Amino acid sequence: MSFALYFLSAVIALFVESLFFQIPITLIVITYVAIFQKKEWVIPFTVFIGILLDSLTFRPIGVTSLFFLCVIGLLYLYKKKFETNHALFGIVFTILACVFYIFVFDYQQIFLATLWSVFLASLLFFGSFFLVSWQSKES
Amino acid sequence: MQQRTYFFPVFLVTICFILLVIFAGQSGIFGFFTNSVQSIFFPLGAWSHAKTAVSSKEEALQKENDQLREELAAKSTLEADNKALRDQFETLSPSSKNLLPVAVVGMPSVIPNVSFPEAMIIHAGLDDGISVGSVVVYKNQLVGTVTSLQSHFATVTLLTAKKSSLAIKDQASQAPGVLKGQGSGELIVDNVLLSDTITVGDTIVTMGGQNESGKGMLPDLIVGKVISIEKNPSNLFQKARLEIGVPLNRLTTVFVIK
Repeated sequence: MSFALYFLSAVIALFVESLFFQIPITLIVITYVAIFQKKEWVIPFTVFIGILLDSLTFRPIGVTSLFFLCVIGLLYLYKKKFETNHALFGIVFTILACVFYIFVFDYQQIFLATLWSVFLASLLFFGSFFLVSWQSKES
Repeated sequence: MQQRTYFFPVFLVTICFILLVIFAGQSGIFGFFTNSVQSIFFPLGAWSHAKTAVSSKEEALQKENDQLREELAAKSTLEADNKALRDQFETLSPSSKNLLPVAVVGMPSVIPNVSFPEAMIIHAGLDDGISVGSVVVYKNQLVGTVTSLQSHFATVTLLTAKKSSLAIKDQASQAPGVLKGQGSGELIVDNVLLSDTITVGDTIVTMGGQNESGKGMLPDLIVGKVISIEKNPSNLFQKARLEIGVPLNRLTTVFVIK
């Protein structure tokens, strides 16, 4: 069930990013999935979403997947040493990844795109953190 | 007992796979896959773009009509002379025979309908006979050039994009210059010699750069109208800021010159 939800979120994110908002929404979703899911399926999932995004943004196939994989790899190295399952780490890591993404893929209006990335990452990570806290209080 | 994870081996294998995909992709073998993906997503994007653009379209059309009426009144005396020349040389440009009408699928920007896009995605590609560098127009207003394409869809970099520049001239004085996109829908003309005359209200058109096979930028396509001039006697060149008569971010149909 959760895989289907993550997949649907990622597909909606790449649709919105390729046609409407030039903001790294897909990267934010991918990073969220990678931080809170400790399963190996995250890697082929990331690759597939990256290839779809390349198809819609006219980039060479595989380039975005390579970037996403590098982000996931860095995250994995960090996970081995430190605790990563909290919202603040997620937000900081995602924002840094988004800034690199915006520069590497030459997005316009860098400052505005970065601000939007900060807002969306904060919304996603804090939102899910409060949702999980509320659910655990209920149970 | 700690559960063994296979993250690192899977990660390494996937990196190798992706590098292989990148190199294999250069040959175009993923064309079918990318065309299929675009065929699924882009029509939905075209529908939603048309819905968001239509409400502002009427205002833009009204403004354009007013502007065109003014230009028509001023140029009516020249029409008779031009007609004689056109009949002789048959240089109606761009010719309707070479125009391919295409739908605009999307215009990604940081904030849609607020921040100005740098590119648009159109529903035409290699299979429709267009190529990288094909000129895109709306009536005789230059919109941009095709910078990347697949079989059925292409990306058009708008002339207002930051990386956009082309050779232009003042229609009245024939003064040459370089048009530079500033992003955010703004254009400036630079590298115009101080000795050349350029005045507010002048129409700026493309210089043209077609090769012997007819490919390249067509001449005399309207780029914009001069709204302000920056002229400093201590500089070698003067600059001008342009206004575009057509709202590029509201277009739903454009024409590609084949």
